[in-house]
Amino acid sequence: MQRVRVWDLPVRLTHLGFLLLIPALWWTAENGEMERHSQLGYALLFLLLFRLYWGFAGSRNARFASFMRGPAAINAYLRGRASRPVGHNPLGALSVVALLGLMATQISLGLFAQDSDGLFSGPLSHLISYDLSDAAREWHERLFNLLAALIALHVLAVLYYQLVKRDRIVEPMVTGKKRLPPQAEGGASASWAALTAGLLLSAGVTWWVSLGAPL
Amino acid sequence: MQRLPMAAALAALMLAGVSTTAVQAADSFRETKFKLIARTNKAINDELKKPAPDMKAIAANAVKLDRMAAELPGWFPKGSGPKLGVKTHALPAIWEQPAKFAAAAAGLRAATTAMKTASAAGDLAAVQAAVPKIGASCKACHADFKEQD
Repeated sequence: MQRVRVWDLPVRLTHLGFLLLIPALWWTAENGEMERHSQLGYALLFLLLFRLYWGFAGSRNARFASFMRGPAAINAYLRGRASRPVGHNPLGALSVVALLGLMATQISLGLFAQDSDGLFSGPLSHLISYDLSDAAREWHERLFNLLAALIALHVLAVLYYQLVKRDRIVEPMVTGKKRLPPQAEGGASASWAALTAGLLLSAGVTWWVSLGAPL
Repeated sequence: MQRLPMAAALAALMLAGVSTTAVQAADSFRETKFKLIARTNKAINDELKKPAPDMKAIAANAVKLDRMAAELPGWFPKGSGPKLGVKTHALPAIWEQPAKFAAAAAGLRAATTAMKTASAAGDLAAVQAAVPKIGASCKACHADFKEQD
C-alpha cells in the first residue's frame, strides 16, 4: 500500500469553506446580522461557482463526469458488486450533487430575497416584484431546513463509513492522501492555468452579481 | 327573571364578537399599511440600485413614506391589541409602554422626513444616507413591539 493524493487542494479547501460558511450563514441570519450574512453569502457564491467549474476543469476525482453514475452502477455498488472507486463512490456522488445543487438553489433564492420591511435585500431583488422577493425569502428560509437535513445525512453517512465500515474517508478529505494499492492512480492533478482561470471567473461573476448584475 | 341574565350574557357575547371583528379589522388594516411601507421602501431601493436613479420617482415615494410614518401611531388605537384570540404580530407592549412606542414611531418619522427633504433637494448622497436610518428605525421598533415569526 502507498499513500496517494486523491483529493486536490481546491476540492479540500472548497469543502472546508462550505463547512465553515454554512453554520456562519445560519447564525447571522438567525441573529439578524444581515450585512454580515450577505458578505458570507458572496463568499459561498464564489466558492460554489468555483467548485462547479472545478467539476469540469479540475483534477479527475473532482470532475462530475468521473463520479456521476447511473442507477445500474449505484445498484451494483449497493450490492457490493462494484470495485471500490478511488474518488467518490456512486452513492456518495448523489450526495455531492444534491448538496451542491441545493446550495446553488439556496444562494440563488438569497440573491433575490428581501426582508419584510423591503429594506435589506439581495443584490438581484430589484429585478423582481415585491411579492416575488417576499416569496424568495420564505423559500430561502424553508429550504435551509432541507439543506440542514441533507448535511446531517451526509455527516451520518461519513461517520458510518469511518466507524462502522472502517473505510477511513475523513483523513483523505483533510490531507488529500489515501492508502491505495501500489499501481493505483491518485487522480488529483490539475493544471495551474485551469485553476487560475477558475478563480478569476468565479470572482468575476460574484463581483458582477454583487453589483446587481448590470448589463 | 331567568331570561334577563341569559339576555345579558348574549349581549355580552355579541359585544365580544363585535370587538373581536373590530380588532381583526384594525389588525389587517395596519398589516396592509405596513406592507405598503415595505413596498415603498423597495421602490426607493430598486431605484437606488439603478446606475442613474430617477430622483423624481424617489421623491414621490419619499413623500408617501413620510405621510405613512406620520399616520403610523394612529394605526394602533386603544383596545386593538392582541386580545380575544386574534392572531396578530402586534405585541401588548405597544399599549403598555405608549411613550416608548411613540418615541419609536417618531424615530421613523425623523428618518422618513430626512429622506423626503433629501430627495426633494435631489441630494443622492443624503438619500442614500437616509436608507439605513429608516432600516434601523424599523428594526429597533420591531425588536420591542413586533412578534417575531
